[in-house]
Amino acid sequence: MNIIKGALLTIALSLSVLLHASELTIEISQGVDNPTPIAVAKFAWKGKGEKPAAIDQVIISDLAFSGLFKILPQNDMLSQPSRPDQVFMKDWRLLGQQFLLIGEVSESADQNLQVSYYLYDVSQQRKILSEKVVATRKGARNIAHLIADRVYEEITGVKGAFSTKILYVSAKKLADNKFNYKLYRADFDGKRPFEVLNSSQPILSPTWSPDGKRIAYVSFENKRPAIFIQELATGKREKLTNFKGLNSAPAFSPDGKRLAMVLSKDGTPDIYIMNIATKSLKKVAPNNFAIDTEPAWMPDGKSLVFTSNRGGSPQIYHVSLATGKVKRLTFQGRYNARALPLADGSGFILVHKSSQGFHIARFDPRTNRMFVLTNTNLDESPSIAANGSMVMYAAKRRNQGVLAVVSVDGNVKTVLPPADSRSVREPAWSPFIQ
Amino acid sequence: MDIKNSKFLLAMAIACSVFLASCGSNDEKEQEVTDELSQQEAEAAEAARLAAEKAAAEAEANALSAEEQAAAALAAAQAAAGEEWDNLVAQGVMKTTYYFAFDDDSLSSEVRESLDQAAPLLVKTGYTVTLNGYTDERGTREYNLALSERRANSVRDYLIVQGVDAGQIEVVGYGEESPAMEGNDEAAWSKNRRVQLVK
Repeated sequence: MNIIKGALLTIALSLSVLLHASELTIEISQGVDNPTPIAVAKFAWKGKGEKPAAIDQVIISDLAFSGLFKILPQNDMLSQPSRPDQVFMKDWRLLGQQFLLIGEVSESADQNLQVSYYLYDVSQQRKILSEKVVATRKGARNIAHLIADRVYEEITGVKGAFSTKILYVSAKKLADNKFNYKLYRADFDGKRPFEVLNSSQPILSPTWSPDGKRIAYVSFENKRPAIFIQELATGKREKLTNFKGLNSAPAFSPDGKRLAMVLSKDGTPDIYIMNIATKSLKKVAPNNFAIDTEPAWMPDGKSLVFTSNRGGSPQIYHVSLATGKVKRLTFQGRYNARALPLADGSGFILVHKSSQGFHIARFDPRTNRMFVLTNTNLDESPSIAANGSMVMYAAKRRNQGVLAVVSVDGNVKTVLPPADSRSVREPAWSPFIQ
Repeated sequence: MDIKNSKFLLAMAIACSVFLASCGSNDEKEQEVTDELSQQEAEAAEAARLAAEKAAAEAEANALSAEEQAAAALAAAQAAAGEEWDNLVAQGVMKTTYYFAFDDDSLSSEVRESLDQAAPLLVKTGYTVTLNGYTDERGTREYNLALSERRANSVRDYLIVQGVDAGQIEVVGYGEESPAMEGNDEAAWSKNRRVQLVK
């Protein structure tokens, strides 16, 4: 762990010049017990112009974020190879490394960046991956995330999610009990934040369409909640619902054509499904007395899970859209809410209340097992990475809202506090974006 | 008018048949006379119309002042009730913030007492009020949004039973937003699980 922390300190120092006030910082608090040792040498700059942002540092940050790797500090390296002819396997074996990543950055004729990288399996003494990738200078960070994705997949067998994005809400209390709310889109690690919406009224429940091109959220900008859909490329947005009462918890169907939501126009909060094109509404699993909320689609798009207190306390229920049949899934404890299905069918990520407080937990309905993943007490708003490996959620540290990440097995824990004094919350992790 | 016109036309027809050459000039003369006559008649009619209008306007003015008197009386009653409201709130005798237990939207006896006090004054003042519902920070945001609206609805429903017009009350649930008190303990949480009546 000390090695990882050392590497992170280096990252923090080298990127501090570029630190944006509203971006998130990364604090890895726990990794796996036996992390895979990997060395990422400095990527040599062979171009003529100004040196671009350090691609190797972003790759190191990404791999460290996964918690699966022990990254060799670059200062401890015996050499800094950037081409295959400069690699001496014995050096890296001596340093106890299992993998080595080297690379070279040059300028193409049109002044774009061209990165050649090579991944070695040190124990087998062979090159296992090599590629040449091109991007604009502005896209240096995208290249780094892409290389990290490839390296991660080559070593773990799981597709990397370092090129994905997050949405999150940032809030600040101003004088006179007034507030400022901002909706940000950023890289998965909170870098390169882009302001999507700025409002004096609450913004809630940001969520992605399955293709990552549109988002939906709840905004109180007209002093009442309304659901909006916004195209990210153009910024074009549409107020989808503005019914009397609650308009909340939007969730795109897997085919992107329908939006599950919660409306209380008929009295109590009920789950509805709206056809986005025709705006037709269908009520699902209605109950005239209970709170029904937090709908989430099962991967096949044929059923939903949702939170309801129809049994006396908030618990997770499943409803088939074809038959309308409702089944209660959770029975452990007095509070289980906001379930999200894991894509591999192994269960759900949800918010579970223990005697200590509110935690992120994994629940397997086949075995009825509740596995608590976090040990902080005010955890909420879980969102699962596109590759199913990690969960990002909102937590509190002292009085500040922070984002945090835990692996689905609970072994890796990272906190993403904002660089400024604002509170951040409601992370929404994007699907894979083409 | 019709009869006079017919007589005139008959006279003119006879005159024209006898004095064909001078018919035109005679016709003009007769026309002038006729114009003069009809103008006088029009003026008389207009005067009558104006008199009627004036009378109607006076009658209306009298009726309005009766309405105005009633309105003034109501306004005075409302103002008095409004003053009583402000005084009771300022003295801390009447509460406009109502507190709730965790994950609960039911009204405590204390809250009901406060609402029993507020309801008749809301009827008298005719205030349009908003009930803003809130929760503490624990639990999930979407569930809390729904819970906060339910709390505000509980207050609304109770006020309506006490005679307050449903049209006087707006309800908005804010969930965990805008906490009244910062902090991560029951001292803060108990102050944040609330409905605020805002007039």
